[in-house]
Amino acid sequence: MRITESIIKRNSMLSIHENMSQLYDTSQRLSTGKKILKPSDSPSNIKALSDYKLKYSMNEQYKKNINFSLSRLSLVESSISSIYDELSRLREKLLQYKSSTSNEIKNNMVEEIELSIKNVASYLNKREGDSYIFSGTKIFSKSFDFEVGSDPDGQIRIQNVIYNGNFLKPEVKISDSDFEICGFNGEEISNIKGNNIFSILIDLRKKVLNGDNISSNIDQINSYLNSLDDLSVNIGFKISNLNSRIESIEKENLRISGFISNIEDIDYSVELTKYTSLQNKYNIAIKIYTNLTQKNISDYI
Amino acid sequence: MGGFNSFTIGASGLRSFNYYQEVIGSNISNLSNPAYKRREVILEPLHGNDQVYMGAKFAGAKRIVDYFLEKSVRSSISDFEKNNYLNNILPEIEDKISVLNENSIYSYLNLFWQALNDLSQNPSNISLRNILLNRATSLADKINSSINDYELLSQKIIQDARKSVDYINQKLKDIAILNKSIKDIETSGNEANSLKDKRDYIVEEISKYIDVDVYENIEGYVLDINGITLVYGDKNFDIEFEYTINPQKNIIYSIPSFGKDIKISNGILQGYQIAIKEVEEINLKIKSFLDFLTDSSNSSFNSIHRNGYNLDGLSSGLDFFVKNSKGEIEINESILLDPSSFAASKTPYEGDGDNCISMADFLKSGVIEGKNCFDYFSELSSDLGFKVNNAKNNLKISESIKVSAMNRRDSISGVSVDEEMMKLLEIQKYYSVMAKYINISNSMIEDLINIIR
Repeated sequence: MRITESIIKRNSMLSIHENMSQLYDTSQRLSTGKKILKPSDSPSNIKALSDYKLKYSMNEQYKKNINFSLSRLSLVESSISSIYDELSRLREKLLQYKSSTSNEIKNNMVEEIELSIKNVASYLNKREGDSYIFSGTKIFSKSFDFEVGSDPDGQIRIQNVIYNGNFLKPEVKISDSDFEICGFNGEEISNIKGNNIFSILIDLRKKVLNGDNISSNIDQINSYLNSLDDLSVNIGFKISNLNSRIESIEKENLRISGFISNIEDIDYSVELTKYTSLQNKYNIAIKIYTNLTQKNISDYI
Repeated sequence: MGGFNSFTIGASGLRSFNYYQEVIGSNISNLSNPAYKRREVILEPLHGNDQVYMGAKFAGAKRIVDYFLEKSVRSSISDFEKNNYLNNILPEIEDKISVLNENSIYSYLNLFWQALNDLSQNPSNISLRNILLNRATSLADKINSSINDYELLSQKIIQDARKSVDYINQKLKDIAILNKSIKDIETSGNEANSLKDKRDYIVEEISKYIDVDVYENIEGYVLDINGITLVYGDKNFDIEFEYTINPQKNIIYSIPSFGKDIKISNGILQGYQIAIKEVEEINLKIKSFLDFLTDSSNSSFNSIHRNGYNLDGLSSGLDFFVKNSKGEIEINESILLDPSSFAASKTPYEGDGDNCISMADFLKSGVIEGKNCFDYFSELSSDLGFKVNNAKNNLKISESIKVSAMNRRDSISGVSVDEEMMKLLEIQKYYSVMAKYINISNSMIEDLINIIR
């Protein structure tokens, strides 16, 4: 085969062009740290990469949902704890009152019970932002309202406590297929196992006012407190489960990050070595091309 | 043979070698001219009246051309230019739809999905409702702008195709004119090598756009494409360009003079056909997604919204995504004006966020062409990635094939300075020998005259 100058130049140019293009690709990878910058860089991996990224971002969203649920459950827990304290304090006072016959103490007790009804209702009317957290999903409605009327002593007091919320449990999505409750409705808290705390307290107040025996009411309060305790434990479990769920999501996302990194991140040492070698090849190709093109007719004569 | 004949022989040698040197000079000076084909000198024996050998005569300079190699170069150029075009245009198509691009429909869809989830936790929160509406608007804007971008790209391709056809027609006309000049020169007994070089170069230029074939028959030079004649001697036939909107959006090239469509099998013109199909396909996919979101049937995103309840606990009855008179996707204006009218709730109570979850789930499970919305775009992006990757590999392969074809052609038609210099040295020696031959003939005749005296 005759080797002409144009053949040599063309081959050198092709080699320089190929080197330049490889150098450009390598420098792009080095400057971004990624080996996949567009789908065509590795089309077979794009589906997997976008699936992993989507899963990661959805997991982050589920984590956010769980954190919301945790914050709501903490508020519920703190309200239950306040109700528990309020009723325990009242129970102590009732036990002291049982052995007393003084009218003044009786009247004080009536007011104490009235205050407890109001306090329990106020704990169950707790809000977070615009939302009443114990109204089920009817979060714009105040959870509990009072109906007032005259007691036998002529005083205006609470005669009935009305629940305005619904009986649904607010839920959040914590995975592609699972939901978790992020609160309790007011009915679930105020009326446990047939013990409606407001009815118990209103009945108790009336008995104190009439001087009747209140032992059965104290028992009901005890039973209610035990149920509250159980509910607290239940919420504790839920909080603990949700915390483990967050941990497992974080672990899963760590694993997914690893997969994503394996697919799209470069190994700097490999790329740097490649870059240096390509740079040398490029310089040599340029040098050869320069030597070839610098020759002219005078070199021959 | 008379003694004076030796002068004739010597002079013919000197003349021939002089022409020879001129041809070598022309070869060397055209070393960098890509259109130039090297010339070889043709010498013929010079005979006297009695058929006695009287030296050599210069019979012309022959262009060294191998028509098979020329054809293979043209074909490789067509292939390379098509792949080069696709390698430039396809990444442009790919980038707009890439799932790795943070400014793509896929990314905006993901943000919208997240906003639905956020609102589901706190459906009464007006700022979350506003964020959701902003993200939905961004998604809708992105869908509209993507469709618009692809339509503009489509128009650009059509415009480029039209310009290219005009350019080819001009070149075909140039060839027809050259054919006439070549014929005139050759009829007058001269060589038209430079014009033939020019013609071959123009044919090579046309080959970038279409894979043409050339041959010469009794009546002249013919340039055709897949059996359809484009140039016949000094006549040329214009290619016409047509872009059909329906049923298969495609670019059609035809020769109205023959009433025929041309089947383009290579070159940039085929690149336009492939690119426009890709753009139209992607655009159709995006439009299908637009239709999917604006669908009002009972198993649509809109139906979930329509059957939900707004912040006032009232049944919404509103479609969320709507199509305007231009066919663009928009968010229902009533919802945009009053964020509380977004139906986040599934039950007629205040503040239930279950409908948001249903809508978010629909985006993950609602079926469009057998896939969910996210898979729909990731598979689209991956498919296009394969095409761009193929175009890149094809370009590399076709570049090697082109270089190899050009090298093979240059090994026959190209100028080698080494070779030309060797010839030059050789000719110089022959030239001196001829000069010496004349000198010797001269001294022999002088000696003869002296003897006679």
